[in-house]
Amino acid sequence: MSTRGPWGHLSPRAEDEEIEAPDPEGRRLRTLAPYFRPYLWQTAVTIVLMLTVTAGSLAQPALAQYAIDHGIGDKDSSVLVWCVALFVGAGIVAAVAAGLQIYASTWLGQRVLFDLRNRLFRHIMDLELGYHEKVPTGRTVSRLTSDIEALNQLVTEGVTTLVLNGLTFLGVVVILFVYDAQLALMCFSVFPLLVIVTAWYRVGSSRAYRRTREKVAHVLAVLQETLSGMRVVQGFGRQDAARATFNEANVEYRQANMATIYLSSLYFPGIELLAAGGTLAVLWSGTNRVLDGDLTVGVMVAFIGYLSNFFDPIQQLSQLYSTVQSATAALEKINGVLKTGPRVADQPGAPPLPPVAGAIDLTGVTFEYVAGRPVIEDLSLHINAGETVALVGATGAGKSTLAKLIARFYDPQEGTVAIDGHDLRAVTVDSLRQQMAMVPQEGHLFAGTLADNLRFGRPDATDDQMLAALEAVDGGDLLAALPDGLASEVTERGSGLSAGQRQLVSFARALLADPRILILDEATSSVDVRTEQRIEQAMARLLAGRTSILIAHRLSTIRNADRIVVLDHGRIVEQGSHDQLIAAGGRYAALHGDWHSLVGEVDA
Amino acid sequence: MTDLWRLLAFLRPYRGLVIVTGLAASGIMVCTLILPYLTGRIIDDVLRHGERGELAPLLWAVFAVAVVRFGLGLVRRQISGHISLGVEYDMRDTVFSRVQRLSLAFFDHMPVGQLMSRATSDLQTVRFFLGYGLVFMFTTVFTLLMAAAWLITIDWQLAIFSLAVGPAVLAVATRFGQVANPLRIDLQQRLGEVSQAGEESVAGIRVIKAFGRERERSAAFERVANGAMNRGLDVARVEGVYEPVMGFLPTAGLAVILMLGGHQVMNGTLTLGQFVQFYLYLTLLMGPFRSLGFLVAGGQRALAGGRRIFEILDAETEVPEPAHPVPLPDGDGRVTFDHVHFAYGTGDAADPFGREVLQGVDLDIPGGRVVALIGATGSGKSTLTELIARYYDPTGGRVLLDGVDIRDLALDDLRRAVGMVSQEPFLFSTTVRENIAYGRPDATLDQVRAAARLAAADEFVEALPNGYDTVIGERGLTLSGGQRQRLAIARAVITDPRVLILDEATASVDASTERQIQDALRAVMAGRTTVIIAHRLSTIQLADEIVVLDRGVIAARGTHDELYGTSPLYREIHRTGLARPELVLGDS
Repeated sequence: MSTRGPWGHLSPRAEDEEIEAPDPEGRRLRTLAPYFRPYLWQTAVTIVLMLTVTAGSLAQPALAQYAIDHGIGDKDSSVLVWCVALFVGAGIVAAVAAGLQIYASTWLGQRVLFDLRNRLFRHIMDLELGYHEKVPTGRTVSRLTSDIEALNQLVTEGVTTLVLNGLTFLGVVVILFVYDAQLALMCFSVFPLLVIVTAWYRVGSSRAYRRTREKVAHVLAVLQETLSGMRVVQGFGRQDAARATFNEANVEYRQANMATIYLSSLYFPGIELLAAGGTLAVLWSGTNRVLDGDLTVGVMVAFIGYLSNFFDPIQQLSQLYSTVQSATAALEKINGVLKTGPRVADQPGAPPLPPVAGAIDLTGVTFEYVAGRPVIEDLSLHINAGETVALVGATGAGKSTLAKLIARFYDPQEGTVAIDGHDLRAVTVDSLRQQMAMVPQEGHLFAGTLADNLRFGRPDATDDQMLAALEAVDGGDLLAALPDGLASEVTERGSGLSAGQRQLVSFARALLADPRILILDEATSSVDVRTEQRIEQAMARLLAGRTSILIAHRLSTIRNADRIVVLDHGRIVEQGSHDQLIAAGGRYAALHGDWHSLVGEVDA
Repeated sequence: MTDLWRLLAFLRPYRGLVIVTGLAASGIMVCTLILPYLTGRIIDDVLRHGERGELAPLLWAVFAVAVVRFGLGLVRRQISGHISLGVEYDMRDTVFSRVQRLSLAFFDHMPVGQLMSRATSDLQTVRFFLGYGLVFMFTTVFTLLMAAAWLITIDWQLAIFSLAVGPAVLAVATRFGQVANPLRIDLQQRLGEVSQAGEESVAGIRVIKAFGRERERSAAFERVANGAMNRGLDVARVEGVYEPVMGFLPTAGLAVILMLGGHQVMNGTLTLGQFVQFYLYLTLLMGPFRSLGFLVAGGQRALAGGRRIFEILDAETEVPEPAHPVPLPDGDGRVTFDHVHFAYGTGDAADPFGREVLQGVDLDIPGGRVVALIGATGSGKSTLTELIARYYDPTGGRVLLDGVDIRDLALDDLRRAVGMVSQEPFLFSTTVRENIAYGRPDATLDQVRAAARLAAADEFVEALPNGYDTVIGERGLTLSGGQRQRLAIARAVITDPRVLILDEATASVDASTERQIQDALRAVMAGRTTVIIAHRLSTIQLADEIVVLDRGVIAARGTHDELYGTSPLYREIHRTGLARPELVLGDS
């Protein structure tokens, strides 16, 4: 086993456990067993290889002993030659088996974790939006990366160490008893002490390693934050203060880690001391018995040779303990995610949603993220097929939630959401989303080419179709700006697409998907008027001929909608066209008045 | 080789301790070698020659050696741990303070993730090598040499045969490192890709769900994960070949000794006792022989990690402190650009300078004046302001503050005199109060409050769950863009800078909030030189003078009325390039 610290595999890992409650069951390593099931025969082969390695290594001292006693001692050359040949043979068998076993163990570990990682990823993709809004991206990603790596460490290296050393230990016990039960018992006399010392170490190190992991997480958090905020740190000349904060974290980590070192500095030499005690007992009793004539020298030499094989595994297994700890902590977190069921799931046997015209009906809908605090309360709304509805209201009024209920990112606690009379809960999510597109505020682009991003909602789109969609939203300006056209790489930062351009791409993406129902969360960041005009035109094209729900921020958008729905605290307080609402003199009219006076001022 | 010496230099503060662990480790090795010697004596003297009386003293000796070994083991582990953690601490601290002194240009080329991995995993490999590996390597070699000497005294021919294993193991280990290390580096790279793929999909989950593309993203993720898995298997394949060979070589050595030594005993040129002793020593050497290979590999990895750390330590800051800083004279904050040119380094050796962002800017801003910078994206507005705070140095010309070239001022003095509020301000995950008082940690709550009031932030801060003690940021409450910028303004004005630089946020706010911000700006700009990158029409009205930038040069400057009459570019920007207030119902 290679030497690794309590954080041998380091990547930023937030040790927050407030989201997933501690779950003793989730820590159990046997929750990993189902992932091994598809690989039963490979697991069997790996175990057979491990047995072979152990047998080959254990056979060597026995063969050497036989060669010394009966070959060299009895001066029988042919016995010696045979023994050495077998000795070399055992070595070769052990080496070949070890080579295969390294590969097999890695194969098995990598496969099992590959499956787990993919299952976890699919699960994360399926988890409803609420989960992702609650849990920061970094933490979710660390489930997929550092936690899986911690398990990998256990499954490949750890299990190998465990099995090989466990087998060796058992093998040695058997061999020692076969050689001489009385000597074996002498040697095991230190065993009770060994158990006590190991139990002490386990308890102590468990606490110390946990603390070390926490402190490491803290060091990383401080480092990450300072690096991200370097502009501010330097801008205010606070390097010394930042260094002091970092230093504190660094010192705490060092102290916490030192505690683990104190523990192991007592434990590991202690085991060696106990081993020496066992050896002493064997030497004392063995020598006397050889002198009394009821033990051969060869047996005693072999016995002493095996003794190190008896104590080594115990040390190795104790060293494994911190790996096991990290792995169980990781497993608990992974199981925590896997256990979080997606709240929106297809009912068994749910049919797909047939092609719809796009009439939406919300009837008596109540929804709450947190029990007792409804975000949408007993809300009913009918939207005609092809109608454009603008949702307006203050932050927290429930605009986004309403849109998300229509897209079935959530299911309401009470009431129903139906499209063309089909209750959304009675149809499959996939079939719903195929007829619906949602354009979020920030046009999120995935790493890849412009084409990859455009055909995101419609993988079979041709180049011509993509170009037409781009043309429709921005008249080809964007293409002119990108040297490689559709094949241009558009990573989130690198490409230098502006916020406005990203938005246009996400419009084109939605246009290409050609949904019956469109939900658009308008960006709040202001762009210059030129881009804004483009966006307005693009939006008009995008909305044409489909049911559209706009979470609207701009007056122009709002004014052009067929209907404005003003939300407040989860209820509809006003609805109607712009002119109707202005005439009504309610909340909308008041907000509009505020705006009007300000515009009047600046344009004067 | 020089890199190795540089790594070793980190051990200098621990010289004494390194010697102590070296001695302790050697002592442990000696004890470990004495034990079989004593065992051999028991077998030879007591068993063969029947001297039962010698048993008790020999057993006592075994006991004594074991106790000494325990003590030495305890000392060695504690001191090694101390050294290893000390080296880690020192290196991390060095890297940290080094990084802090680097100019922003460095961060343009080195993403935070890269820096993090160097300051953590690379540092780990180095610390294990310096703390444990090196001493272990030393004692291993020492043990092998001692044992060699001992074995030679027993039987030099046998000794030479058995020790030939050492060089063989070393040769295999070196080759192993050469083959495996590039694969391991690539594996790390691929694991990074897995992490990136995961991050991207989790961050873009809304879009993925909106288009129902979960399955496709999962398939794409599987492909990346598959790449990492296959590379992991490649590494295992190489390990599966080399590690057993390194393990088998000592076994082969033992077999040779059994054969040759056995015949010598039969011929009577060696006693059985001598042979048993010889054999026991060799079995003891199996461990060191095998670890030799791993130590070499570990050393190679530490060296690679060390090089990556040195890359950071060797980075030159592009805004060096002046050797003899000039004290900042009293003044009202006059900022002068004297024929300033600027290009961002591309980090490409063949093309050290990218496109010129500023192409000869001459601009004199008298103290206390409020200047609005306007211009299209890429016209150089942000760059111009970043030069004032000396985040970068101009590639030509100079920037003066109250008549002094800012390169002659101590950085701390300069930055105390210049307050900056960026478009997307970074706030630390601590309390509101500490964030505002960041540049003036000794500020009283009243002062913090006054600054917040000036920045129109007091009202919403008071409404937070714990008022000024509310923790915000990643591990606390999330604030809206408008709120964040107001806190950043408060943070800038609490230090009372001579020059205030403000990159206006583009996020829309509702009309009443916009008015509040305008009022706040008017208050904070009073009596201060202010350079404001304006995106809103209403902000322009606050300025004494408007400077229009176009492709790195000043196209026009003057008041609104002057420019409106003379500059077509200004008219164009004014008409279409600036945001009018929106009827925004929301973000406030």
